[in-house]
Amino acid sequence: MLKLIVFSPLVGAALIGLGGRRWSERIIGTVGCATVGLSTVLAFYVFFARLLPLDPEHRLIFEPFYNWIASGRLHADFGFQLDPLSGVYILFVTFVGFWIHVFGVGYMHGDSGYYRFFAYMNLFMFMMLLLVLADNFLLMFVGWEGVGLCSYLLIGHYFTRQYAADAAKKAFIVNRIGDFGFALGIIFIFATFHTIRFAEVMARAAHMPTEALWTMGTLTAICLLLFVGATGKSAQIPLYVWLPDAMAGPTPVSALIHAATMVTAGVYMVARTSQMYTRSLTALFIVALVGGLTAFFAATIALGQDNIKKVLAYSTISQLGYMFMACGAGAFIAGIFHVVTHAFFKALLFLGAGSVIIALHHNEDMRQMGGLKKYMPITYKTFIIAWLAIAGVFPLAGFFSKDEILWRTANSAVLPPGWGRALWLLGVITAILTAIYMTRLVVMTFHGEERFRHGEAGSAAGHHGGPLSPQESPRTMTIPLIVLAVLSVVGGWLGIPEGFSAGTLPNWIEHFLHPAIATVSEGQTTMEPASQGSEIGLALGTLLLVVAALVWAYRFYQRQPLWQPPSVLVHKYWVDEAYDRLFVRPIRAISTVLLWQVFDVRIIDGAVNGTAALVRAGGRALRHIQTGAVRSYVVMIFLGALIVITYFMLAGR
Amino acid sequence: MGIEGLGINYSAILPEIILALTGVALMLMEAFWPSRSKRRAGLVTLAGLGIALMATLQLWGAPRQTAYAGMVIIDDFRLLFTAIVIIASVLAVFLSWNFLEEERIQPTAYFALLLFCAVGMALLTSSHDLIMVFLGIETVTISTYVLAGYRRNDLRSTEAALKYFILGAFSSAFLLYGIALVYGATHTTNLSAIQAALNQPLGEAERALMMVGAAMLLIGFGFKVTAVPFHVWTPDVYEGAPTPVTAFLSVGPKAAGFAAFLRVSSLIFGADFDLASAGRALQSDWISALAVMAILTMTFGNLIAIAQTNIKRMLAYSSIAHAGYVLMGIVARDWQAVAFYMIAYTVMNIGAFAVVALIARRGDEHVLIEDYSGLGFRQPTLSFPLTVFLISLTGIPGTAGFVGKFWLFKSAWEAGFSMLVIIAVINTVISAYYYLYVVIVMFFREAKREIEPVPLPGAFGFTLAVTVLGTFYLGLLPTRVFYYLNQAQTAIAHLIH
Repeated sequence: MLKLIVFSPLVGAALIGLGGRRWSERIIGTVGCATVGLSTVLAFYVFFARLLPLDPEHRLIFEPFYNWIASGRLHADFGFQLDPLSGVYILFVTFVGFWIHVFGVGYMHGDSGYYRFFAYMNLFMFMMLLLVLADNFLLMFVGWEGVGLCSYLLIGHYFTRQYAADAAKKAFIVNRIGDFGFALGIIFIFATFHTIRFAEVMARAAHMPTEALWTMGTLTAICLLLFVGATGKSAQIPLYVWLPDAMAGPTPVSALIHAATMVTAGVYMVARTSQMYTRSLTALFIVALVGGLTAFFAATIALGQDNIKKVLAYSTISQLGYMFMACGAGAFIAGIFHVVTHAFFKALLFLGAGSVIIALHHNEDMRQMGGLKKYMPITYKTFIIAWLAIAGVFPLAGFFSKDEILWRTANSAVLPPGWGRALWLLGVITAILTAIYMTRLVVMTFHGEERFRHGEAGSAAGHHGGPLSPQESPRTMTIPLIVLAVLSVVGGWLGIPEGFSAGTLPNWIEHFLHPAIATVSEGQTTMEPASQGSEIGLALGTLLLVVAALVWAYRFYQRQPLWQPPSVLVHKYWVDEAYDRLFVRPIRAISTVLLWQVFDVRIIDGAVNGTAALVRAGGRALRHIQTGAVRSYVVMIFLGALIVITYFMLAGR
Repeated sequence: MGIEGLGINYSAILPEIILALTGVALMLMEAFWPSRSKRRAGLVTLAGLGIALMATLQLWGAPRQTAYAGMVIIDDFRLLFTAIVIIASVLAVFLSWNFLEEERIQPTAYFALLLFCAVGMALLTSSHDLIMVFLGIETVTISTYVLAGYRRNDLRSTEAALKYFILGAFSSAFLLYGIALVYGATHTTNLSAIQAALNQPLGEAERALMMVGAAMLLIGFGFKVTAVPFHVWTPDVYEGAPTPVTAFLSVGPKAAGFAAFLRVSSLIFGADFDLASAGRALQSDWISALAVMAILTMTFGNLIAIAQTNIKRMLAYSSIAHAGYVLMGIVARDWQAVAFYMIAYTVMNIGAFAVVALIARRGDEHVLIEDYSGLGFRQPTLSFPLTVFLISLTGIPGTAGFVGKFWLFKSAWEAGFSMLVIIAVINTVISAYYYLYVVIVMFFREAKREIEPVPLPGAFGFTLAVTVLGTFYLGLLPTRVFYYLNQAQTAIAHLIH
């Protein structure tokens, strides 16, 4: 059954990839959505009919497929594993994925790469499900690299645009830097535990002692290496730079890959290995710190962006930061909860943005929007719901998950003294910033003066001309918006804190995920009933601040929607430029100048370029050049030989 | 010593005999019934290679034995590598099919040279004596000198051959001198006997000789497997030689060179020596020199590859970098990892060069990476296979390259060379940059000038199909290969410590 869930989208990808070129859009869309739809239905069936009826402590289903690598002690199956954690993931991945596919049917209408788009989207779904359902690290790595590859292919979808190709390459390279950590982590895990199956590694890790703060034990090393991988895939400091550029891809791609699913793989990995993380206080602290700082940092940049998708991209980075902050505080479940709610409202925000972008003929600049609410009522209403949800207004989805994260962080038992409070404060400030930049986005896009007529509409796409009269998007696009809007309202009710109902309503997601996730030193994070009162207090306080921020920002931007943000935010703290100076250019310089000219003499090219002249000059000149090159090669070999011989002579004494 | 003492055993070198006879038969055929038909020569060559491969495989599992007074060894390690080099030769025949026609080259001599080169490679994999190693290397390189210069009226090709010859002779001198010095120190050239001699203390003079001898061996082998700083010939020769020859050079002779290198390194410098023995002292120096060489090779190869604009030259530097990864396997003394990597590398690199050869066309005209722009969706039958090979060379999971790299890294880590592994992993990150660049040019760039589509001849289609399937097979279902490697493992426990 799990096999079918994973492979159904692959079949779809293969069909579309092989035959799609000759098919009509209708057939391509149907095949693409149907195969993902099948996965979705099966995922729900497996979850509710197979996993849920099991005894809560033994909710674990293995499904081996075949023996992939077996050599000596190394055994890696192509095998799948369903437990509460992967169960939650397959539910929202297939569900959100399916609706984004439906949205794509309308969004990509008329695109010359229609079949490519659906082939890659389906391939992505396959890789993502592989990542989530894998039962060992190596297979997870296959999915991990696979989603990266699909992301790369889809970012470069509009390959005639130079910036799309550059963005695709950037995403791939930055992710490779992260994967370097992940790969080393896997090797380290195998060397330590002699297995790479999750179940066995976690069982063995459970017997290892907790490593204190600022000690560098085995588990700390492994966790930090894995976290390097997570910062790449989930766009955290310092590897976040690829995600905003990734917005060059089609908007459904941004919604599916760069908001709802792939970028949360890092959180999944950390939660999956929680047994190890909970035993390394250093790793936890670093995860929390990086998460908290990223959340705040990205939120400030979001304030300064004028491109609607860029704002949402930085918002995603910021929200991912929240999730890591929760994990680092030991509250993995709260982190996963936020992954789920975020998938709903962030996908909705992106799809709403996509609807607007299509209506304005591929214009993404918010300075050339405004007043769209009367033209696009459904997009507007669903967007408002997403806006309130991400800001964390009661009782929408974002409120519960964000509140859970903040409360758990403030009361964390694993962070160094005082740091829980400090990160909590950072989280609250970020929540306020979130409310402000989202309000700015809503006002600039949907309210106020209609600026889209002055602008150079369609400059990006180029081929749409004529006056603009924005229209509501077709039904294939608005229905997914409505579905996601409903979930953005009710999604948070999965995890209503018990304190809210004085213990009468159980926190469903907490109880459900509990067996799959390690808890910090048994009992330390389970708060006393007395502190549940304080949870309501904290939640209310944050809510008041957020609402105040919403109101203030609404008034402010209503009055001056084009207010120029500080230059440092517009330029994203010049981080891209700094990376370019610090890493990209030096490496290229080393390669071209030093090595290329010193070690790679390239006489051949010179000879070929000057062939005509050489032929005229006769063999003498040619011989001269050739022997010249050979001489320098001989000198190099000789010097190398001298070094090797000297080394052995000295070593031999 | 009587005739029995020589240990004549024709079955031990049956693959070599078949290959050599086929080569001779080809030449005779040409002398008596001249024909310019490449079909006849090609089919005879393929038949000879096929029979040699069968002869190799039927020896599989035979007990370990030496023949010809310990010159030649039969064990599963030899058989495995012999099979690899024969398969590489078969693929090279398919790659050359159209090249011979386009360049109007006399096919018989070309294929005969290929066969003689295969003889040398097979001898290299089976040698159990430094003299045999030298003979094998010389047989290989003399054939390849000629192959590299096969496009006689092309400046680049002849220049490549000349450089290859001069530098090859230079490095052979090092190897030969090293062998002489080792002989001076141990009074034997037999690998097992050298091992035994090193397992006791040596005199002062002998030790000095042995040290310099070891250094010379390292230099000689370094040249053959394109290790930095003895790699300097590689880019020019790979760029200048006709593309099918380059493809062959980068996998066949290299795999054979690594097989001999590995055997020498494991037997002479990798044994479990007694505490006070000379070998013990030498061992750590040898291993650390190898490790440094591995680091230099992979790092330089990858860094210089970034700056290349010619795809053959880029793949040449990539080939150097991959030699660096394989050296890790020799450092870790894990011959299985080396063998698997050579299989994987043969498949994916031949595949990549097949596409390059097709696009380059007559006279190697289109070999700039720029020439690949716009190829992506215009000729998916070429661009998609090339993408698969490049992805595999990068080491993305699901492909042969990933399983191979993972295994090498894992062994090196377990053998305690974690720093080496970290540097290697950083190198794979760097390599993604230039492999990906080609993919980007293919799919995301408009064609700079209009190049009419290349037809896909049957021989190339076959090669591409085999190599693409092989890349995925080794990446997704490597279990069967592992099974054979493990079977061989028990048969040649003498190489393992």
